[in-house]
Amino acid sequence: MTIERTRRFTTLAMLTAIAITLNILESVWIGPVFGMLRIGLANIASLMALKLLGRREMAIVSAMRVIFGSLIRGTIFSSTFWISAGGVTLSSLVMLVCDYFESTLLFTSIIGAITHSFGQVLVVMALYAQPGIAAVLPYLLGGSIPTGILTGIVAKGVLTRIKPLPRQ
Amino acid sequence: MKKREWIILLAVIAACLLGSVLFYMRPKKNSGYVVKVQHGSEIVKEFDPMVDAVYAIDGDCGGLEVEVKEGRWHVINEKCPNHICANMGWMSVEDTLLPITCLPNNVIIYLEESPG
Repeated sequence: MTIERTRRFTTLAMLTAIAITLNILESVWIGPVFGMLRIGLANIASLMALKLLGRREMAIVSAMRVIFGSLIRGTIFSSTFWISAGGVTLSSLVMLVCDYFESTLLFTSIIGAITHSFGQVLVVMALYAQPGIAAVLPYLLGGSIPTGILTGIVAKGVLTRIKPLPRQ
Repeated sequence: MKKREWIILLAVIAACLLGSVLFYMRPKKNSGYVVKVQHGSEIVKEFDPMVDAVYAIDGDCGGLEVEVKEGRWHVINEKCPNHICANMGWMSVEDTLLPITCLPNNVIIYLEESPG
């Protein structure tokens, strides 16, 4: 029992570290593709946490990645922090709902990517009082589908290669 | 993916497309143009051609009214003898060859780009 708890805890810590690393890697080296679209590699870690550990752990990984990612980049509590927090909050909530209804990983990933963009746009609209930014919504949401498929496929590939943990 | 998930995904894509179509088809709120009504040498009225309304204008011969509808405007209820101003018909931002002129009333209605 204690061994199991320790193993889960270690896995959670590793996934959080992976999420933060991917988040920073993406923002520093990869950057936005096609103008303003981000791949969302860090979502792979969230998806893995969701399937490996559970819903609560997924929320922890997502929250930690936003907080520590922006802390390391020095953007905490700036507008970019709030934008990314809005996206992550919405996408995490929707992914939790998806998991509750036992959706497939790929679908959860796509919906997570879409709602992430949507949440970000909502926060930008509120923060800058610019409802016109909604013009980019169809472009962003449409672009989120391929990135969601990509992260979903990667997460699935990783999950089939590692030993599953007993789910509490 | 499950069938139900495909349906949800297709619905999201459809909503996305519909939203973008609606967004680009919507009438612009601020047209970037202003219609000015001049009586004699002073401008007595300025209005946005994209805002539907009816404006009453005083003139030397009993005045007239300007009706604005769906980005177009024309003269109605004119009190002048020849009704040339009303017969000039509808004007719009894309289709304004001449200012609407009512000589008996000494009123000219013309389009200009708004500075904002």
